[in-house]
Formats: sequence, structure tokens, C-alpha cells
Amino acid sequence: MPNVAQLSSSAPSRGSPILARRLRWAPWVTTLAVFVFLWAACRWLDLRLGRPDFLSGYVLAGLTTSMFLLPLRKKLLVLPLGRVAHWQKLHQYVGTLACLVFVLHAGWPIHGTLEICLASLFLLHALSGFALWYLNTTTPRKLSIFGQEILANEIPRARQQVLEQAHQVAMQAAGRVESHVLAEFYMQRLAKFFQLRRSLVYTFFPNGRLRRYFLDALKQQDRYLDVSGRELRERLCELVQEKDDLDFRDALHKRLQWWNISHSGMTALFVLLMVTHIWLAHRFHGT
Amino acid sequence: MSSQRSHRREPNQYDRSHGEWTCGKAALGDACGSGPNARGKCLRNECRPIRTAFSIRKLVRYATGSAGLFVLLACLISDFRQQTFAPGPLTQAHAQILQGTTAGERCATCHPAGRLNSLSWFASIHPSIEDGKTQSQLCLECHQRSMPQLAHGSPHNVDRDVLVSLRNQDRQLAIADHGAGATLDDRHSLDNDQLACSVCHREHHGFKADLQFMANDRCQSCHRQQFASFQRGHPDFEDYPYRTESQIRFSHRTHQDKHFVAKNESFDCRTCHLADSHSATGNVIRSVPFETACARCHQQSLKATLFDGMVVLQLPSFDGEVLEKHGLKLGAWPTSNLFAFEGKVPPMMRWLLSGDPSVRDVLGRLPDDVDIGDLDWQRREVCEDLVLLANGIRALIDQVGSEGQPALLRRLEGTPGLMPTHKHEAVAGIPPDIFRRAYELWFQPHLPLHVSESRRTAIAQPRFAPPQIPSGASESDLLVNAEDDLDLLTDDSIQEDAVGEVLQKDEVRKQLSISAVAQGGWLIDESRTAIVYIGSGHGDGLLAQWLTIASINHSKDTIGARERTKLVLQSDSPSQLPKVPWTSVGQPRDTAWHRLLDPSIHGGCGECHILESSNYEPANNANFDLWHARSTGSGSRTFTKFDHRPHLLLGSLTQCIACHQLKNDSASVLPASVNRTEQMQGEEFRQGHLPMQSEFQSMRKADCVTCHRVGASSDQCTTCHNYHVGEYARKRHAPIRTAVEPTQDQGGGHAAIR
Repeated sequence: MPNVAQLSSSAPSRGSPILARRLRWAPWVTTLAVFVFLWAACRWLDLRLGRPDFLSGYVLAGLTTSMFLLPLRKKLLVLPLGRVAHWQKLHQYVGTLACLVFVLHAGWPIHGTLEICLASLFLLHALSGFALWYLNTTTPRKLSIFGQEILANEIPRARQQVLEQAHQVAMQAAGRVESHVLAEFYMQRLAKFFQLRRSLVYTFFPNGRLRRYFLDALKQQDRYLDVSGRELRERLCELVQEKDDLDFRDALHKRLQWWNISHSGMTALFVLLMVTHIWLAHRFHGT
Repeated sequence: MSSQRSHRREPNQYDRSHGEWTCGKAALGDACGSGPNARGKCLRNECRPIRTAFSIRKLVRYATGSAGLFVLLACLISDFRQQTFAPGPLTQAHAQILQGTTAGERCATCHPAGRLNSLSWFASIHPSIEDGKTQSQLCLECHQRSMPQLAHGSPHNVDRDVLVSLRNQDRQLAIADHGAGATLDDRHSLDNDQLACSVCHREHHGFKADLQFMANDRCQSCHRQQFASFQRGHPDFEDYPYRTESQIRFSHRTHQDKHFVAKNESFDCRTCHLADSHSATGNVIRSVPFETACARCHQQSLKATLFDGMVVLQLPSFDGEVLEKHGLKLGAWPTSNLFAFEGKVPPMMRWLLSGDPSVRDVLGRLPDDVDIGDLDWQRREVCEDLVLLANGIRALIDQVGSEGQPALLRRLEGTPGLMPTHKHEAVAGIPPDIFRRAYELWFQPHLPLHVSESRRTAIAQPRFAPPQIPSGASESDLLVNAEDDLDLLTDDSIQEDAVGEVLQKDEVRKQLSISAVAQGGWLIDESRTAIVYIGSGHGDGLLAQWLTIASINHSKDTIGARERTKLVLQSDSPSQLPKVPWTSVGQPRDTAWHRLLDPSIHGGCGECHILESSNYEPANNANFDLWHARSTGSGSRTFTKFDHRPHLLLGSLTQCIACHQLKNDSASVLPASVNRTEQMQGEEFRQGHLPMQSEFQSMRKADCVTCHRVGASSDQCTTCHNYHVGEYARKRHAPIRTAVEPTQDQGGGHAAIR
């Protein structure tokens, strides 16, 4: 069982080969090139009095379907299909291309109830996907600040440990007259903080407001404390910081989970509407 | 990383990411060994298992998917189907039309799939053809009424052969101009006769969407002579907007310089060509109605031409003695018409008789411009033909009198090249009563004396037949006997006096009869033994229809008048050229038919109307129109269009001559109207069908570019060009006298689609 106070070494930096650095833009250039090619093909088809909507629509449907390769890869753990990280990169490039093709296909404004719903779902998927992409990139860096890696499902237990330690410190303070004020302060204010489950707003917008408030309040108790009491107060300050750090970690993890649910939770509805749209387009297109 | 991993606790079975439930104490590190079951129940009843993130995601996915499926199915079977699945609001015009329909009908009006119920949608993957009808065919169910050419489905709704011809012409012009001939893409387009309406007209893009919008690039997908804009690269105009040959002969130059000057009147274009002459920006009338512009001066001459009426049917005269000599019996026939072989078969009677198989061969041997008195009636075969002709005439009058207009229609069925509309309109208004009355007068045995009494007593009896002895009368009751009669005939002075007196009486009688229907109508002209129709004046529909039929019926074996005129001008021996339509030759110059049709006679139809039907094709010209101002019909949409109204708002364009300027030598190209007396002397002018060249100078593109350029007024292709060309019913049915054309389509020809 790890101690939350223990610091761990930061994540080792991975040096990129020179070739990889030179080619880091290659996937994006390729994505853009494919889109330009598709745009030119649609334009050519439109000028030849063809049906560019069907071309861009089927390409979009194909790209959208290929997005399911990532969750499929995640489920096929046994087969040697390459690293998930590579599939995730591919997922990001294809998703970006799908967004561009969507703009080409749907245009603006979008009419029709079904089409508006479908477009809204697509935009929700796209936004949540980009958000996940951003969070997946930035969250590990933010978590690494704390030095110690704690899995998301270990946080409640760590939080419980911090609560117990804070309770012990409070009990020590209550046993001495010189630090009795500290025990009262804990009972009246800090106990609630250590038991507090943060709100949804904090989950999406984590901040250090409570942390600063309690640290300041604890520091103001110094005038009533002797030397040993101030040591207990410092210990409480450390525990307040640990609790807030755990809350912050928890918020980052939950934020990822929420975006993940919004990204993939509507998948069935999206596929349903997409198939309906394709079906209707075929049934009702002009001949 | 491995050092970090070492600080963790060992993962237990609840840390699996794809598990549905996890132990309620797992987060506190006190998870039990067995864990919850698949339904989320703790096997030891010690904790409350919680869902994993994976499970929540799965739950949300199933919940939203199921809810969406439920809503879709509910919409599919409910009345909200149209609102849910329509890909957007209809445009204003279509929305208004479908306003009162139910949701199902609304879709089914335009979509074949909309005619099926919801479950049938899943019966087949192919969508758009139900009951053999495509979506475009459903479009045509409404739009073909106004634009019948839409059914062609070819580019521009023009026949493929015509397109190929235009392309070849265009290519030759391009080779001559630029040394390269690729102005139209050969790779496709011409063979594409299945172009769906929805390719260009895209619905469900909102109430105010422009359904007719077409980008310039789309035009240039076929028209490969591409250019940047109207200002830069568009071909210059050729004879615009005067390319279309008019059906009317009219000289602005002569009227301006001669006729209006003679009457001391000012010649102002707006007097005739503006619908509201008080408004400088009103609708412009390209073809001015006769009543507005011409009647004031030309009404009287037309009335004079129509005064005698059109002989619809006339009994020829036969020599009974000659027929008897050949042993032939004529049957009932007015005695007034038994004095000699004389008379011709009028055109209308000829067409009606040609519907009788027994007479058709006789008519084939009897040219339309030959008097039967000129035939060799000494030959028995000729007399047999004439008896057959008489029988046919008698049967014709009898049938029409007893059966009415169906008999006329039946007889016209054999006339080649006529559309049913032509026949119906030609027959409408012909009264059967007058035929019945004529039959009673001329052929009923007990009424022979009622017919043409004056002629019977004064001409027929003395000259060619012994006096009729009434039954019961003795020979002494007669003023003279047979010998005396012969004596009288030998006395020229007596004969001339008697004939002159009778003819004078005939003329008085005839004048009275005609004056009784001076405003137009039918009468039996006893003096001519004829059924006569007197036209009501300009725009007489019945007269126009019969003249149209005449033109169509007699132009099959001939060449067009315009073509003939060109040949005349190019040939040294015009007499060897093919025959022109009968409308200009072959009729006696003193008949009303001739007076109406001969362009050299003042006051006739042919003076102003070019009565030529060389371009008539029954399959393609159901609405063939000889009489309106334009050869393509007033309701045709050409490749080029123009609206005068916005242009007249500009101060510099309020005067018509700002754009429409007469050529300096315009008098020389207008033979039919200018110096008519002198110019009609020539053969081609006697036939009266010189091409009506424009007397106006062609407009220049530079004049239009002043405003129509990038950054100023619109220079889109569709600003001036129509895609769909052909007949346009909304204008076609407008009578010429009220034919106001707010948007005038001008002939652009192939240059417009280049």
C-alpha cells in the first residue's frame, strides 16, 4: 500500500528520433491532402452534374465506421494488432478528417429534423473527441506534478487514509490545552473538508480556493498555539494539501470519464441515425 | 515506471476495466474475494457494489440507442413522419402547392418512395422507381403542362440531332475563329438523356432557397469554351436580338419615313411597344397587337378583302347534253348549273372531298388550278370523273347536313399531317344547318324551281336547256316554242340585254345576302351556287385554321418559301425550281382565297403574315402556329432572355433607340413592305416569301458590359440564358392581342449556348 506522502520520480522523457521529428507533421499533411483530394473530386463531380453528396456522404460514413476500430482493438487483446497508442493516433487523424468531410458534406445551414439531430450528435462526438484528445495529452502532465502515480480507483482509499491521519492529528491536539484550539477548529471546519466529496462543477473546473482558505485559516491559529501545537498545525496543513491534491486528481480522472462517456455513450444513437439517414437518402434521392 | 508500479497494491479481480460491477469496499482497499455477481449483488451481503465506468458507458449507449430507436419508429408510423424525415423545408412555391395535403401525400407528390407505406420501404434497397415512375417523371406530371419539352430529358430539352447539329456548327465557327474546334464537351452530355431534375433543382433547402440557381461552372462543364466572365471572353453578339425570323412583315423604316410622315404623325416606339404608354418603365410588348398598331389604317382594306367571303363549297356547272351523249346520268343537280362545263373545286371543298375514297382519285386527276371547262370533256373518262365528282359533292352536302360536324371530322381524318387539334378547331363553328338548307335548295327533287330562279329563267333555260314545262301546262301556254327559243339565242342583242339584266339582278341579290352577314358569318350564295363564309375581320379563328390547314396540307411536296427564295436568287432558271406552296400560286387571282393569301394584294392576310409551313412536323408541332408574330410561337423559351423593365429604369436607356437602331440601308432588306408595288413585280415577290431580315443593327456586347460585369450588375450565365427551352404553355395560350411579354425571350441560337 503506497504512502501518499511518498514522492516518486517524474516520468522519464522519451527522446524522439530525428526522423520521427521530421515526419511528425506527415500524418497531418496526409490527412489534409486526402481531404483536398476528396474536395476536388466532389467539385469535379458537381460540375459534371453528378452527385457529390453521395460521394462525400459515403466517405464520411466509411470514416465514421472506421472510428470503431479503436474500441474494437481495445477489446481484441489477444490478437497482435499493434499498440493501442498507434491505433489512438490513427483514430485522431481519421476523426479530424471526418470532421472536415462532415463540413464538406453537410454544408450550412443544416435543414431537417433528422439531419439536425445527426449533425448535433456528430458535433458532440467530435467535440468530446477533441476534448478527450486534449485531456489525454495534458492530464498526465498535470498528474505528474504530484510526483506519485495513483490510479483513479485508489483515490478513495487514499482519501480515507488522509481523513484518518487528520483525525489522529486532531485527537493529539485535543489532548493538550495549548493546542485545544486546533482540535476545535478541526471539529468545526476541517472535518467537513476532509469528508467532502467535491461537486460536479469542481470536477470540470478544479481549483484551489478551499485549499488556500483552509491553509490561511490554519495559519491564523498560530497565535493560540505553542511550538508543539504549531507542529500539529503544520501537519494538518500538509494533510489539507494532500486532500486537495487527491480531489484534484480525482477531478482530472472523472473529467476524463465524463468526456469518455459523452464521446462513446451516444454511439448507438449516432449509428442508428446515420443508417436512417443513408437509407432515406437512397429511398428519396431524385432520379 | 517500474519503480512506481512497485508502490501500488497488487491488482485484484475488481480492477478489470471491462467488468460491469465492482465491490463497494474496493475503493477502501477492503474488497472481498468473491465480489458481486453479474447482476450487481454482493454475494456476502456486506457491501453495495457499484458500477464501473465501462458499465456506465455501456448503459448510456444502450439507453440512448433504445430511446432513439423508439422515437424513430414512433415517428415512422405516426403523422410526424414528414416533419421528422423531411431533410428541410420546401421552397415557397412547392410549399404553397402542398399546403393542404396530408403528410403522406406531401411526400408522395414528388417521391416515388413516398407512395409506399413505411414497412414497404424495407422491401427493396433501390429507392426511386415505384410503379415505373421516377422522381423526375413525377416532377413532369405538373411541369410538363407548362413545358412539354421537359419530357425529352436531353440537355436543354433539345432533340439530340439538333444539339449535334448546333455543336458541329459551333465547332466550325470555332475552327474559323481560333483554329480549334472543341467548344462542347464530346465526352458526355449529348447522350445523357436521363438527367434528373434534382441534379440542378435541389429542394429542401429552405423556404427562400433559389431553386433555379445554377452556377456558371456547371454550364461550362459541357461548354468547354470557358471564359472568366461575361466581360472577359464571352463571345460577342451576332444579330442579337434579331436572329429570329418574324412571321410578320413590317418595316419600321417605311412607316417612320413614309407612312407616318404622310399622315403628319410622329413615330414613337413607345406608342406601340409599351403596354402603358404613360409609364416609361412599363411592360414592353414585342409583338404589337393588330388592333393597337395596325387597325387604324389597315382595317378598312382587310374588310374590303373579306367582303366577298370565302367560298367553302361551290357547285360546278356541267353540260347535261354532253353527259347524256356519253350515256351518263348526273342525278339531282340544280338546273342553273347544267348549262356548260364550268367551275373549279375550291380548296376547302377539295379537302373535304378528299376524305371520300370514291372521289379521291378523281381529285388526283383534277389539278387544283384547272377549270373543268378546260378539260377534254369530249372523252368519256373525263365525264365519268365529273359525274363522280358531282356525286361526291352531293354526298358531302348530304352527310354534313344530316350528321353535322362529325362528318367533317371524319373526312379530315385522311388529310395527312394534321394534328387532332387542327381538325377540331377547323370544324368548330361550321353550322350543319346551312348544309342541310343547301341540300334542300339544290338537290331536293320537289324544290328545283326555288333554286336560282333568275338564272334558271334567264340564263340556263335560254342558253343551254329547253324551257321547263310545268306539269299540266299545255304547249300553248308557253310564250315561245323551241324554235323561237333558238331564234332568241341567235339574237345577240336580245341575249346580251337579258344576260346583263339578270346579272345585274344577281349582283343586287348577292349584295343583299352579303350585307345581311356583313360582320361575318355563313350564307348560301344563290347567285354562285355556293356556301360562303364571310370572315369577321382580323383574328377570325375559323379562317385562320383553314388557312393553316391549307398551308400544312400543301407544303409536303414542296419546299419552304424562304428556301425557294434563296434558290430563286441563286438560280438562273427559277422555273425549274420545285413548286412553292399553293398559298401563293395556283389559285385564280380573283378569288377571295387568292386575295387573302397573295402577299402582293393590299388588305389580304398574306400582306403581313408569312404563311409558310415548311418547318411543320406533326410529331413536334402540336401547337404549330402560322399567325403569331414569331416563327417559334409567342410562347417559346429560347436560350436567351431579356427583361426590359429594369433597363428602362436607367435614364440613358429610356429611349428605345439607345439600343434598337435601324440600319442605314434597312429599306433594301424589306421588300414586302417597302415600295411594295415596285418590288412585287419580281417572281420571288409575287410569291411573296422573301426572308424577313432584321432592319435593326445588332446590339453589341460592349453595351451590356457597361453594367453587367464583376462588381456591378449580375453577369451570371442564367441572367441572360435559359436552360430549358421550347414551348412554354403559359404564354402560348395567350391571345396575340393581349400578349404582353414582360420578359421577352430573344432568339439567341447556338451562340447563346456556346
